[in-house]
Amino acid sequence: MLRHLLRRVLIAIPVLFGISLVVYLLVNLQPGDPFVGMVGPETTPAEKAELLRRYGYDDPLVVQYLRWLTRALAGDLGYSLQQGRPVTALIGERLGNTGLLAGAALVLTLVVALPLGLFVGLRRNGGVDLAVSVLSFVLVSVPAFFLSMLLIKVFAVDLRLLPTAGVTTIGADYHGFAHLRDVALHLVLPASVLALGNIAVLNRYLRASVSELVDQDFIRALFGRGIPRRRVIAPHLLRNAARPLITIVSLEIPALLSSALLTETIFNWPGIGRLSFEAVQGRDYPLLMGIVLFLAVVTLACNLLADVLYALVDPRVRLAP
Amino acid sequence: MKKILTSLFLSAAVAFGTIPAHAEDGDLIRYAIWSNPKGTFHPTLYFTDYDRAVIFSVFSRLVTLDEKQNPQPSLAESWDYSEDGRTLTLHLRKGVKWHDGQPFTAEDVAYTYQTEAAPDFPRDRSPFVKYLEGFEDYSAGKSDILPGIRVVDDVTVAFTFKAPYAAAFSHFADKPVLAKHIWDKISLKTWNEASEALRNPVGTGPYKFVEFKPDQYVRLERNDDYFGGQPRTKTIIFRISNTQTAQSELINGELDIAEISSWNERDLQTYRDAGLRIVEQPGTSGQYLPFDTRNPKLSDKRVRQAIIHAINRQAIVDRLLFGHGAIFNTNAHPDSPYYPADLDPYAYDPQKARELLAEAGWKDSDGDGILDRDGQKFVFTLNYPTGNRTRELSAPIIQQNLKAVGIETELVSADFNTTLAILQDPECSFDGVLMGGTFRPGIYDNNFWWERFTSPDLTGYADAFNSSVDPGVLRENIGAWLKGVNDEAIRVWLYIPNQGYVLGPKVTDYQSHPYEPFAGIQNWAVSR
Repeated sequence: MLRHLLRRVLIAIPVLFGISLVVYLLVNLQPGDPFVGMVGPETTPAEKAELLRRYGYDDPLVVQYLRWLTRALAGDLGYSLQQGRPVTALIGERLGNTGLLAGAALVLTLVVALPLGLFVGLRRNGGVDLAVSVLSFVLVSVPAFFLSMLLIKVFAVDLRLLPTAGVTTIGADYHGFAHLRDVALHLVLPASVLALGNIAVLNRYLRASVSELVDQDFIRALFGRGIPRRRVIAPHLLRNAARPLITIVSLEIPALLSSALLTETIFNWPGIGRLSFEAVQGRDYPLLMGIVLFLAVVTLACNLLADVLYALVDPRVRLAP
Repeated sequence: MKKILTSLFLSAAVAFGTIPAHAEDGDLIRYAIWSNPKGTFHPTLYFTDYDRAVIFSVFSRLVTLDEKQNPQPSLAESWDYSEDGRTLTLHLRKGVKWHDGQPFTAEDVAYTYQTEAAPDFPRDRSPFVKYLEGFEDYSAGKSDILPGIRVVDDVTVAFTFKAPYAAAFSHFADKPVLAKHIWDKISLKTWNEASEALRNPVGTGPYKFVEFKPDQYVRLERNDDYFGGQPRTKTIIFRISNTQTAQSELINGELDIAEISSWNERDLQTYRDAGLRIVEQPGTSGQYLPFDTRNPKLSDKRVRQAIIHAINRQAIVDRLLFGHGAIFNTNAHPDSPYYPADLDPYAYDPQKARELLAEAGWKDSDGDGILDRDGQKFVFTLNYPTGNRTRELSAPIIQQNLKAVGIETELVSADFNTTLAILQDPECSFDGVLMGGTFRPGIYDNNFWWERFTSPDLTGYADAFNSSVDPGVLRENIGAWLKGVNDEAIRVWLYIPNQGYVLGPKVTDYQSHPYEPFAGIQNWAVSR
């Protein structure tokens, strides 16, 4: 298995190259350039072309890519064109915030989806199962944007239970425990929006795998032997049913990091999503490439993690050559 | 007796600045901005409105604009012209200090505008520097001195132009003064990357910079020694918000002031029902439909004029802006001082449009409802950018209007950067592109890059008004230029949306006027 993992890591390197090249081409082949939004209306086309030349943006694409690549390999992701700060610093600033949001969403998802999926898997075709099915389909179909606005209207405006947006209450300057509480309150709505969609999906998977398992001979045998339900469900049923979830959840992590964009915008959550959106709009090439590279590394790492965890949990994978 | 003593004591306390003049004022105003500032808090390097909000509260300018867009003294107390009008001498306010305690002098003023002309200035150049005497040699590095800017003494600075230049004040009102003692330590070439200095601005304005939390807020604290008087509110926070949640935040009390993003009566009523006030002002930016005048379909002036007649601009204002907007017919705001009274109004007249098109040779010869000429159908591709809801909604309306006069219109939307790039790239051909632009009072730009157009007549007028400060000469030539622009019809002047601000219930005092959203910031106040 170790050999298998090592091979996966080695393959990851050319994959990263490939991703960076493809994204570089896609981004640069788009019309527009970083200076479109930065020059005034009286700037002559010649002056703008001169600015592009000065910053190296009218060199052939290959040259530009190689220039970026050599620096990236040395750990230098360059400076954001629009913000004038090192790309690594900008990403680092946002990482914590996105991590917090993604982490909270993940925890919420697991805490709700696991028991829920188990419950409906064991009591298939009952009233609860139907209700959860319908609710899941609704949540998956409703766009995150709409769901966000709905939750804000209900919880922030009508009921005044939670704040509308942001990470902290502006101007309040909380410290210590009050600060933690403030951030936690602000986290509830955006994390819920992200989690609700995933809960809907995850509980479907779990329901399917639980219901498949419940019919299996070994489970029926265990139940038949008179062992208390609890001791059958926890070690045998849940562990087996949760296996496919490992892959799904590991792949959720990069998805949460990158697709939180809309949620981050609505809730003014200062994360990587918003940063990448602004980078695309402003054609901030260095920042964009930095973020893409970062997300690619995270995705590849999560894939690897999924493999490792699966091997740990499922002996059949471990023992195979 | 006790009362007299108390009031005497209080007055003395107020006079000595120990108690704020308005003891019932609250400490914090939260103002919404729509996007993250780039962190370029630098008077001549900034390029977004959001950085501008911070810059104009932290820095001061030589002059500000009043309601009639005339220059009013700020850092410059008074000014005069030389005999020949080419030299403008500014007399600066005495005793002004930078937020770090250093004195403000004429050196700072000279340095601010000199660096704009220097060879290594990392941005595009504003037209102002090109009019300065000696600009060419200085900017090419051939000369070390710029004769156009001269420090006369600590409180006097003289600007000499190649010819009398009236638009200088527009530049002064747009670009605040920066601190020489901070920025001359940093090599000009690296100014864009000097994030330490860029993100910790030191100015002479009513508010001092405290902190910038990217994507969250910018915090400013009042400058008690501000030359315009101690500001009433202790802390101002520019809070990054978005147009969808700002309404909830205002109603919830999480924000105090925000710009209006929709004039829909339902939204306005929601605000009023929640006890919020709305301040409405004439807008300061216009939406246009520039034409590519090299395009054979559009090179004939009559075709362009026909298209303006064909578009029902008032309907766009009535339907999309719910009446909160204005129509205009030349490259200036109708409130600007030289706006001619006798412009062609290009009234909505589809019949007239068809006549003009017919004169230019476009007739519907095969009865299919689309005009044609020499076997070619009149197909018009309208590019428009996403990001501005009203503009996006105006595209289908324009499409219908043009269809009604026989012009088949295809809509193509793309993101803002892509769309603006079409206009900026002279190699690119197009039919029409929807784009907006902010008016700059006092600046009448004779460069028509977007429309790939030049006119010797218009250039003649522009040369005349850019080389005189005589009000009579300016009125005559700017008026003639505006009329000429109106006649050439190289773009459709679509609409000017009104500007508005929503004030939360705590706001007791707020003032601003067009082009100067923060000029009165030292007088803004909230209740406790």
